[in-house]
Order: sequence, then structure tokens, then C-alpha cells
Amino acid sequence: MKVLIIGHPDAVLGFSLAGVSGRLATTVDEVNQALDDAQAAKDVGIVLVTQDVAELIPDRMEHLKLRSTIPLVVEIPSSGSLPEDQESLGDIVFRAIGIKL
Amino acid sequence: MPQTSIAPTRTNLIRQKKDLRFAQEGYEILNRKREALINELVSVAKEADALQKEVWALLGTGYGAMEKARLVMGSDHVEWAALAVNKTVDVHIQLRGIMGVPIPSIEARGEPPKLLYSPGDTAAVLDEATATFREVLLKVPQLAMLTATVWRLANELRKTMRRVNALQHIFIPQYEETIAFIISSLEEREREETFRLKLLKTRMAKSAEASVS
Repeated sequence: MKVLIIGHPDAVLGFSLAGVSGRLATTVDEVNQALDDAQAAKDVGIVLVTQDVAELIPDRMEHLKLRSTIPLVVEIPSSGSLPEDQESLGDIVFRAIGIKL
Repeated sequence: MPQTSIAPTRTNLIRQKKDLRFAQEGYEILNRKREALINELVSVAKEADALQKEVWALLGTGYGAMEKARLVMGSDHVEWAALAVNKTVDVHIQLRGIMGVPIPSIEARGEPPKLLYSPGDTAAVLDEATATFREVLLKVPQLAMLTATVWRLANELRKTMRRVNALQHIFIPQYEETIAFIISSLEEREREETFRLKLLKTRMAKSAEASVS
């Protein structure tokens, strides 16, 4: 199965240099449409969504991250934003068990 | 506050005791589940966090290099170069369960080619960008797997903890109070009964005496 990237043009172009096909998306409708297609496609294993568009559809992203197994949905930073203002996995664990690793 | 709506009868007492035992058993099982989830989560969390930070840092470099490549060559050229790349990572996803949580395990096969576009035509920064994104892509399957695992385990853990807390702090004390209330009511009724019988006995004795004399 393939990897697919949805979101910011920079990320899509960058990943296409590594052979990953991408869908440009900047609006809510575009993201939803792209995600629908990705879920319908049989050969998509991992969907990367850039943070700037993931923020447009927080509920759906939450649901996909928790429930969807094929494809797996992963949020990645987009070029405009620094990794610092994103919730890292360490923060998620901290929220869940109250222990800082 | 005991549930005063429950009639203090023996049947209800038995029923409440059964419910309490059930709640305690559930509490114990959930507590063990909670511990197992914490163990599992802690064991993957460190690795996942490190990998995520690594990928984010790489992406930062990659975006920077892309920006430069676009400035040097123009967006169109970068896109053309990207068209030449046709082979990529192939992933295979399987599921395994940890305490009822489906956790993916991913196997990645193949890798993107090292160099496909003509280097004579492109700027050196493009090579840098390509190399970085290539490296990111190689880490993506692992990252996807760990991220999903952490998210799901953390979510399940939150749910389990909420249930454990509800049982421990609300349901079990409530059952205990209700049982204590029923027991005390039953005892009170018994004492009343004894007193009534004694009173009756003395009255009967008195009336018997009166009839004799």
C-alpha cells in the first residue's frame, strides 16, 4: 500500500520528490474530499496530513487518529508552523498518565 | 447519601450486596487493565516521542531546502524534477490487539530511488531537499505506527481511568452506604419487634392475673 500526503503545497511538493503522491488542500471541503477519496482507495496505507489543514477539521482528525486503521492518519508539521506549537506525543502521554517522560 | 428510595428489605439487601461484589470485581479487573495499559504506553512512548521529534526536525530542514530550491530553480522546475520520481515505499499494515485496542503494526518494503532526475538540470539544494524528504519517508511507516499506538493507548487509558475512578469513588461507596442503611433499618425494625412482643407479654400476664383474682 502507498503513502499519501494531503495539505500544504510545500509539503506535497517535498514529498513528491521522494515519490509520494499528494493532494493539495487548503479549504475544509478540499480536505474532506481528499480524505474521503483516501479512505475509499484500497491502496492507501498511510495518509499524512499537514497541520495547517488538520486544524480545519479537528473533530474528524481526532476520530481518524483514534479509529481509522486503514489508512492510518498522521499529522505532520507544515512549513509555516514551528514544531514547538504542536502537541507532541510526549504531551499526549503526559495528559493520559500524568507522568512526564 | 444513601439511596433512600430503596425499600429496606432483605431481598434488596441481598441484591445490593450482589451488586457491590460485582462492582468490586469490575473495579479490580479495570484496575489491572489500567496498569497493563500504562506499562504498554510507557514502553512505546519514549521511542515514539524521540522519533516524532526527529521527523519534525528533518521536516524543518526539508522545508527550508525546498524553499531554497524553489528560489534557485523556480517552482515549475522542482515540480518537473518530482515527476521523474516514480518508485516509493510500499507499506503493509497488520493489526494486533492490546487490551482490546487495535494497534497497527506496519511493515515497509522498498525505498524511493536515490537519484532519478538529471542532476545537470537541477540545483544542489534540490538534492538536499530530496535527500531529506527521502529520509523522512523512510521513517514515516514507523512514525505512523508509533503515533497511532500512543494515541489509541492514551485514549483507552483515559477511558479506563474514568471508569476506575467512577467505580472507586462513586459506585462502590454508594452501594456500601445503601447496604449500611438497609442493615440499620432492618436492625431497628427487629428491636421494635422485640419491644412490642415484650409489651404484649406483660399485658397478657396482667390480664391473666386479673381474671384469676
